Amino acid sequence: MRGTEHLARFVVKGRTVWMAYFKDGVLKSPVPDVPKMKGFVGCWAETELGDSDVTVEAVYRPVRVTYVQYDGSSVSLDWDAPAPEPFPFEGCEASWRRFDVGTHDLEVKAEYRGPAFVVRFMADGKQVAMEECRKGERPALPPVPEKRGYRGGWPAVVPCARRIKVHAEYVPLRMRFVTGIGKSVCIDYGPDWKERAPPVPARKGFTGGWAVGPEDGMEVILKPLYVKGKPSKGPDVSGVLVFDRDMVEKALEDLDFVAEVWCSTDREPQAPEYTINDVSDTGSATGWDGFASSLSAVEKGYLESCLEGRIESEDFLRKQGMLRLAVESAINAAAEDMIGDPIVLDGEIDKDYEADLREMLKDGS
Amino acid sequence: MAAKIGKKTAAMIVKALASGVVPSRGAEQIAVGRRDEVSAFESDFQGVSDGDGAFRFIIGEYGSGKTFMTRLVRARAADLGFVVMNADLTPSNRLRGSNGEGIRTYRQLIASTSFKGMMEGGAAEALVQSWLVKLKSDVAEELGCKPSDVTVREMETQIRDGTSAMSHLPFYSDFLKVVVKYYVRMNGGHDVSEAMRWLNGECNSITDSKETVGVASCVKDDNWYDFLKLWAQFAVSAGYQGLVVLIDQADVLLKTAPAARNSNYETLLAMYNDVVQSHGRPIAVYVCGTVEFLEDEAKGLYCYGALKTRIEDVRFEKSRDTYSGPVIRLKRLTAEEQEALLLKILEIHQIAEEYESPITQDMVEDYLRSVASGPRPVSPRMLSRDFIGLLDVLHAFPDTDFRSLIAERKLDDDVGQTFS
Repeated sequence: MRGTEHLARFVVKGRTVWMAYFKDGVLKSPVPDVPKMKGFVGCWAETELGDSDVTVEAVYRPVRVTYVQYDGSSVSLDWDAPAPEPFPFEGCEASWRRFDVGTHDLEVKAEYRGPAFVVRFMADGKQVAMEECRKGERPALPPVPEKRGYRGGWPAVVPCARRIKVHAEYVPLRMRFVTGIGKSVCIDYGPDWKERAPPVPARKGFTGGWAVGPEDGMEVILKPLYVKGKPSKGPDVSGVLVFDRDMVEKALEDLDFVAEVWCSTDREPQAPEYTINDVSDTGSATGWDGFASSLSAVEKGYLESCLEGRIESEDFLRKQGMLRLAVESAINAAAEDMIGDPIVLDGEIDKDYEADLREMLKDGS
Repeated sequence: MAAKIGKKTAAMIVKALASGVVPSRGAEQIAVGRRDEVSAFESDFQGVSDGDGAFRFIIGEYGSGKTFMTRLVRARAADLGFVVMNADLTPSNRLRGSNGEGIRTYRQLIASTSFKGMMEGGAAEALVQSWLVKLKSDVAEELGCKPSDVTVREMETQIRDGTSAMSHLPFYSDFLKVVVKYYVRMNGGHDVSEAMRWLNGECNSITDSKETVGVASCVKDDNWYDFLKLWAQFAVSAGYQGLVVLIDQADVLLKTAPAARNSNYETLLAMYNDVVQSHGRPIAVYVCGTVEFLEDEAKGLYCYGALKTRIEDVRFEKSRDTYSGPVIRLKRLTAEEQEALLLKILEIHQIAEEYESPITQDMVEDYLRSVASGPRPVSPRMLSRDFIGLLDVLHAFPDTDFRSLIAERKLDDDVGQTFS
């Protein structure tokens, strides 16, 4: 003890967690925080700092949860006490908002979940997105589909109370035609804009058209573009160089159709079949395994003999009474279907596939 | 859903387009604007499989994609199980001539013979072989013995039976004799080149044929199409769907002397009549040329009245797209189709190089505006080639400014393949 100073012991459940000196009722160092205990709110017990050493005990009480009803009335209970029933509304599911118990008191409100409504987002007559909302909720807005020549947005959507369709709204972009230095003519975009566009300023010996320039979301700028002489038969130098995105989309769809219909990779082998001995049907039909199972025993034997050398393959063909080109064309037709490339030509196995082939034939799969 | 493109196919397409040639695989992935044509060919193939031959003229301006289309047809036909032959006409390779021009075309056709598994050409002998193997295996199965135990006599009988469906065709018996001869020599381990020489149309005279294979006929300028019919029927006997013949660069006929031109058009007419009028002819013939080749009243097909009346667009077809007639007109790609082509190439380039390109659709349009500002229309070939060059640069040097690259970009005029 130093002079008139006394010692204060801060104790939690019998254990001293902090000590501090005090003199004349004033602590020399700050009061420490009460150690936290989950589910309880703690504080130091009020203790008089007198003329002798003191013990300051930590006091804990359970966390209290205040349950607030929809009308503001509330009731506070220990967190582990049974919660009161939230006020019921007909047709709605009521519950208290979920909470985690910590070391502080809490306030919890009742949640009411009404029936779900479907909100459909439409653009140009087509549904582009769909959102499910509870009564009173606002749906999340999807991105507005782009429309060439227009600026789009969704109208303000009120909290949901019924099934609704929200239609995208499009405002035509302004088209600014630069007709000279500091001069321009503006029109609103529309399918007939070409008819409404001002004439391209004439330039001797050149044919002009309007070239679409950058747009800033509100306005698109078109400047004259000239090509020498008369317009040619080409599709895109005759004047305005504008691309119709719908047409591009259609061209890509048509291309997909062609690629799908005429794609050779997923077709069955069409080469003539000939089977001298039994055809092995074992093995799974993927990659090389599929390839192996598509070959007849004779074809496999031929490939094995080719891997040994030309003389061996000739011997093999002679013994089997087979002809080289015929066997190879059937093998290659199968190979093209399975791996996309022919693999044997005039008794020579393609080097890229030699190792794979050896392994495949060794496995006998 | 679109057919998926593999990395290998994508790389092959990019490489071919960068070199200005049609990819040997995957050409269908870039066949923009050809949906109707593809449907028409598909219907032809179905018809030929069912026994109805097809004869069409594929007409388009230079750079409209005729060669591309023939490659596409070739690959598709082979994929469907057809035997395919193709030839380019030149001043020395025509349909008929006084100095063996027709025979040379026939030889070119035979040399180009392809089918699935042998798409590099030179598969005529493989066709004969595969047929003999099939026949031999059938005989072995019937007799319950090994193929090597089948005797020559048994095979001769089988060859005769196996080709009975073509016995009504001219030169059948000679063709049969030569095939038997081929088999006998092959079976005995002897040289078969003499038989193939006759089949390839390389015997120059009847005397030569007699000495070579012992038959009193040979392929000539005025009968080569009869031999083609034999090959078509033979292909069917060998298990294929039929024969597809592609003849490109027919414009060369415009530059021949009037008498020679007429005799060539006469051959075309004879072929046309034979294919269209004869039922059960398993053959499809496609002849490619420009609009001038078709419509020029002085030199083109329209100058030959008998052909004109057969192939001219009927009144209500004019300026409409119809694909049921004998003429398929390939239109130039529209600006939007060009854009679709470039977008597809962009996709393929990314697959081939395994990266994500920063190029957007707007940038593709800017590029097209830039290249289209030249004095002449740009062919899809040049456009694809140049665009791939651009993609390569942007991929290799990502910091390069796109706009500066496309500024004043000029493409050389491209008028397709030319002939002198």
